[in-house]
Amino acid sequence: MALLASTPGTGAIATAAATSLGAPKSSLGVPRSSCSSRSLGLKTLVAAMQQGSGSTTVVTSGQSSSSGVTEVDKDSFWPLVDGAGDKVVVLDMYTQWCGPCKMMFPKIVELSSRYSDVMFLKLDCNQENKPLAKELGIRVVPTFKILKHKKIVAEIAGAKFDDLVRTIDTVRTG
Amino acid sequence: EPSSKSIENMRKFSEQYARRSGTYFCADKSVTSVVIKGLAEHKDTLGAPLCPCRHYDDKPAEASQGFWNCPCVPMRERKECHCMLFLTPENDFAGKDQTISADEIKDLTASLG
Repeated sequence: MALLASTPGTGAIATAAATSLGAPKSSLGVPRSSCSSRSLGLKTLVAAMQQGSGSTTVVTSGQSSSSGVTEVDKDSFWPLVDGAGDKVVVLDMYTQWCGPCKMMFPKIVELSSRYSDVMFLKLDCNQENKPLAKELGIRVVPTFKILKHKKIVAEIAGAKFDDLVRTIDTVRTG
Repeated sequence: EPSSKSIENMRKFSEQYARRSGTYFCADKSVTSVVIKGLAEHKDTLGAPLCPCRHYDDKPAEASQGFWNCPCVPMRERKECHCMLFLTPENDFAGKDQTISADEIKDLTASLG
């Protein structure tokens, strides 16, 4: 199922494909990047967690979890998404000095405690994570990507909390 | 952390431009503070106050091109600032201030960076 979300300012409709640089336009599924050898340790950890009771909070070595929102990077993102199973994944793509990002984050933390069946992740779109940011597609910051079964199914561009909640609910129940 | 000089330059620019454009800072001035620091950081690294609320393939090229240098074209043409730095009075998030002190910026961003 593909959802369209509005972008700020222009009122234009943006699809995940349209905002994803270099990704195939035929579908909204964004291809996974191949995992580097550094992420093999993460894969092992994620596999172990899949065998357990599961949790919306995944803490891996080198990553930090802040009240249910896990910081990811270009190496840990896809392994965590792989390990999400049927859970909806919400990725908060932010930059260090983006004011609206800082405003939204406490609300995202609140959402993470409200939705036990959703995995909340955050990605600092800095130079180091640029390959992943480019793969996923981002222009406006913050951008929220919603994934299900390892594919991007919706996107919210901008600090639009109500739109984000509505979209999460639609994807969860879809 | 951006330099004090650039932070001060961007602080003064923000106050001046808010007055000139009839816009106001966010009621939550931590948003304002973070954006001003972001502009300052780009001023330091790129020589231009590139919008800190966007992602770029090539920052130096964007800074040279100028579309997203603050005040960006959407702001100049339509008073649209998605950074929430300059807010029109009817915006739900707009406060009543067009000023922000250096101490406010420092205090409100103390836990960041």
